[in-house]
Amino acid sequence: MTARAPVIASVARPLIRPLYLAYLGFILAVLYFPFVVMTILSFQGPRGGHTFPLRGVSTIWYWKLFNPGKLTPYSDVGEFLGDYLASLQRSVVLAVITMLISTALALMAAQAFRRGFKGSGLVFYLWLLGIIVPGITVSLGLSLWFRRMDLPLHWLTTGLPVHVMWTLPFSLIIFLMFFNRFDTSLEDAALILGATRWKTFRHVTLPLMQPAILTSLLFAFTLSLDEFQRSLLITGTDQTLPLMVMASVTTRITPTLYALGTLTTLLSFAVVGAYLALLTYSLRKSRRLVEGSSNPRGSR
Amino acid sequence: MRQTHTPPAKAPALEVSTTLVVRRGVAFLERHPGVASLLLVLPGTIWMMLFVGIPLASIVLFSFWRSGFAGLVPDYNVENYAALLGGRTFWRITFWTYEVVIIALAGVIVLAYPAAYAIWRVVRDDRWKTAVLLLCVVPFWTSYLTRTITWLPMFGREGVVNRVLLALGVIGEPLEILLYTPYSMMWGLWSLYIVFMIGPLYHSMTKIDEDVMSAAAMLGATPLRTFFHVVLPLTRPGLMAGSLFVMVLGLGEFFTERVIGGAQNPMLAGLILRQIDIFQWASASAIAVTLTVLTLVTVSAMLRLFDLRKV
Amino acid sequence: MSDEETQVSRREFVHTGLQLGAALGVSGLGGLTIVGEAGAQTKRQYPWESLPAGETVPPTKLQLRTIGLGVSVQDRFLREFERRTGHKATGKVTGLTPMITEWLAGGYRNYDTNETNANRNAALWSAKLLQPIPVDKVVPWKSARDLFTNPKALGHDEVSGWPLVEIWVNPKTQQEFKLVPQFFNCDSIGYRYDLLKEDVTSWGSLVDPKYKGKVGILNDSLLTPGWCAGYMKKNNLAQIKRSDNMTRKELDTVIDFLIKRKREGQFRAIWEDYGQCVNMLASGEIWLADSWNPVVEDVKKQGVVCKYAFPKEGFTAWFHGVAVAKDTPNLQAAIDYVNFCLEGWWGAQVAPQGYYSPTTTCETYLKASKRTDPQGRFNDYEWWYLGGENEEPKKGWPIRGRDTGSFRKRWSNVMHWMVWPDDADYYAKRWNDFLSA
Repeated sequence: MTARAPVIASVARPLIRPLYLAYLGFILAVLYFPFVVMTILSFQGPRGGHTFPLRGVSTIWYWKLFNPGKLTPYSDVGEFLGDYLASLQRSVVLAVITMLISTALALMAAQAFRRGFKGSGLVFYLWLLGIIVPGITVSLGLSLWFRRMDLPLHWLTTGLPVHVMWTLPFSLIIFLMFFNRFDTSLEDAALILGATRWKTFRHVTLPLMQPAILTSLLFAFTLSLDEFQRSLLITGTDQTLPLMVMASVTTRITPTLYALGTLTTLLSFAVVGAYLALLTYSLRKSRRLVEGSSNPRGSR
Repeated sequence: MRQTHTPPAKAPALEVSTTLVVRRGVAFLERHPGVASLLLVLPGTIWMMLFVGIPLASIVLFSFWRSGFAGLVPDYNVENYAALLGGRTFWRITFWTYEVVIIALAGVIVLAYPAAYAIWRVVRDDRWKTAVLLLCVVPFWTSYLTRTITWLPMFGREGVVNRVLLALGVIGEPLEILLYTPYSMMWGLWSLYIVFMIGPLYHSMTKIDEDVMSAAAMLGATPLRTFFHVVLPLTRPGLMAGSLFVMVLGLGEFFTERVIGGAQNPMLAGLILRQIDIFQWASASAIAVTLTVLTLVTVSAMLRLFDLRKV
Repeated sequence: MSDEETQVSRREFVHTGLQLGAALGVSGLGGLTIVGEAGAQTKRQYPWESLPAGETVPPTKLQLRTIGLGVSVQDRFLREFERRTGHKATGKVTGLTPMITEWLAGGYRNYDTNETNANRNAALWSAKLLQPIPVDKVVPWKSARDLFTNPKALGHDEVSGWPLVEIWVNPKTQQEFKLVPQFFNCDSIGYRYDLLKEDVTSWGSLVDPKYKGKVGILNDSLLTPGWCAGYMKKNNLAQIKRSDNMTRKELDTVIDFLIKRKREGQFRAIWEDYGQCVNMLASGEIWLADSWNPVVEDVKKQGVVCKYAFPKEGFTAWFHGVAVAKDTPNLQAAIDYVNFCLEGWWGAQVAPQGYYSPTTTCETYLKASKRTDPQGRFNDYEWWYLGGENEEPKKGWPIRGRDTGSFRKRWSNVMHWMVWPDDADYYAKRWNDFLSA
């Protein structure tokens, strides 16, 4: 190692942080660029299309979003008047149930995979098939199967199995990744001290796994919310949001979609903000508890 | 022992025996972790067998049938595979698909790694870390289709990017390379898959012990050396998980190619849809089975490089 | 006015639904009693007939579950159907392929009707998922256009037997429908007149090197080779017997020609969806595309000078229809729906998109409204069916009346119908070769 390297490093060090932050900002900017365009175009004038130029400014697309099926003086025949908000609701319900089931099942299975069992290789690849088998053929195969079983198609009853099937492998991989290089010393200690495996899991493993659980929930939610290939043929009449958007593309695309995108993004920000506030609050609370216990009389 | 001979009242007996069964069951499972494992993995496995296993089995079956105009005819033959694997187009598309996916994967790694690293090392507060991570996910909560629709106003001839570049005098006339080209498809895939890499990468970074990092620094390792000898090896699980996601999603990709790529360079999964369009379910199934096998081989090769399942 | 149209307008069934309802109310043939908001009672013979504004028929126990493209399955149509008949109506909007595939794969039990393109409907019919509809159950069919009843009509294709062959169980006797025609049109080329600065008069413009890199074509393994074959055939560039149903050798010639053009960079994009084509034309991303009349109308609505070509080789024709599921528990609702679509109101609603109605009943509605002509000279019937041809061009708007003129003019210039070719599999195979070339 030459002496020059640390010198360069020390010169460069003050630069590294802003550089990284700038890069992070760049990535976020790229991710949010479509949303800037979307937000601007969601205020498109009533006669405008969903590309530039803007033909006036209006909030009519938001009005249309909240008044599906209603006509305005600007409505054209053939304009898609579907109820996006209803399908958004369906999608969110489906995504929430999916993320819970997916995470629970994957968490259980990951415990088994950790310990290893006979045929684990086979089972692992069976799980992986969920993301490997091309989506549209799963939809086709399943719809034929549901027909044989005489199951009526519905976004929740027949949609849920497919959504969970799609997100399960992701959740499993996340847990496996987490257990890879997992420090077992705490668990071992608990077991040596006489805790049962269940108690060890409940009080030692589970708290340690909190980040993995959150990641799995987040992934499953995101994937389910955007799923359309696999559910294309098996959701029945009421459609989820991605299928609704797909349907709207068979007629003219209007900035109503942008209004929806803008609103859901704002809503997402609100949810994220609330979550952070909650996190801060609980952190502060636990800190206060710690302070309180170290100073029994109370500081103030 | 004596008590067992006196018959107790009925209800309490039942209670006792249920608790007993549960307790015995738990004890049994504690003694036989193998059985416990089986029970743990069973629900998900049954789910997968029902909703992937059965459709896949039927697709494998169909791939040996024949398509009639109104559905499948159980007339066993290997014609579907012979026609598929015998044609030059299939191999050209397969080759192209792998080319696309590998470039996409490389791009995603290059783009995501510094981002994940920045969140881990440079963003200071834990809450901010969570915030930035969530900010990376939020765009994906808007339907993918809606997001791709914005590509025309962004990258089209009259799009924002071209307008800005024209106004700045960087270009003389609108760039056409930004949309409906293999390049635009690549950018599309990167922006689509980056979150699948940042998440796992960041995750495995957080598990690197702070002591290891400071030890490396104390021993005089340059940041670059620390990165290659400490960080990179320790983030292999995340890298592998992210790569698996991108690989599998990429091999199944057909939509980006159509909407952002201008449909001029089809990928394998798109072939399936084309067959279904004209009700050729048998040959669609053959392509699906072939694609499934290819993906399985690819995944197992990747896992041979680094097996996620090992603890 | 052409003979055909005058003749039709004289027919007694062409009254407004309101007049019809009132007339029948007098005779009182088992009519329904409707209690409106105003308390007025109207007697109608059929539940699908028009209903004065503000009145609503009380709900029945039947429902209608339909599936189709966004064009025909529109919320506003379903609500009007509900209002008139009292049958609860729900519709699923999806693409052509998913909607047939869903039915074939067993989803047909969830629906009563399927509103689909005639060439794909044959798949449902041969899978025995549909039931034939007796012609006397479809009352407005008495005012059907000749095109759908007469093999001698303008636009009928004797070689393929279209459109009759896909409508009727037996095209000779015409007693039962396989598919009840709902709306129809013919496709050609949409182009940005302001950018091209000249008129497109041939399908050849799409493969003309002059427009290299400005052309969009539809990603469809059947339709795109179809028009290209028609172009090559009519211009003696290739020996092709039937451009709608080619042999392998003929198709090879066409695809090889397209591949050559593609390699030269002729095509800017290959479009997938209606909305995508509208956007690409409206934003100038492409200057011309093989497109649909409503696409062009939609682009125009954004204030862009877009025109619909009258190709010398002829248009490619198609029709959509309503098919009724085999064992629907709501047969009466399905039949009411079919009647509702042909009663006139529905046809008048889709006319401003550029679609034609298979019955002439829409005329009364269209004649009563004057929403399209920017100068207010022509009523909607004169504009959409007669073409508003005698008008002088509006300043700065080089389109005179409806592009491509009257119904008669358009249907005297049909290249072929979009039939299902015998060797569709080979079409798809060769189309993949084209896409990946």
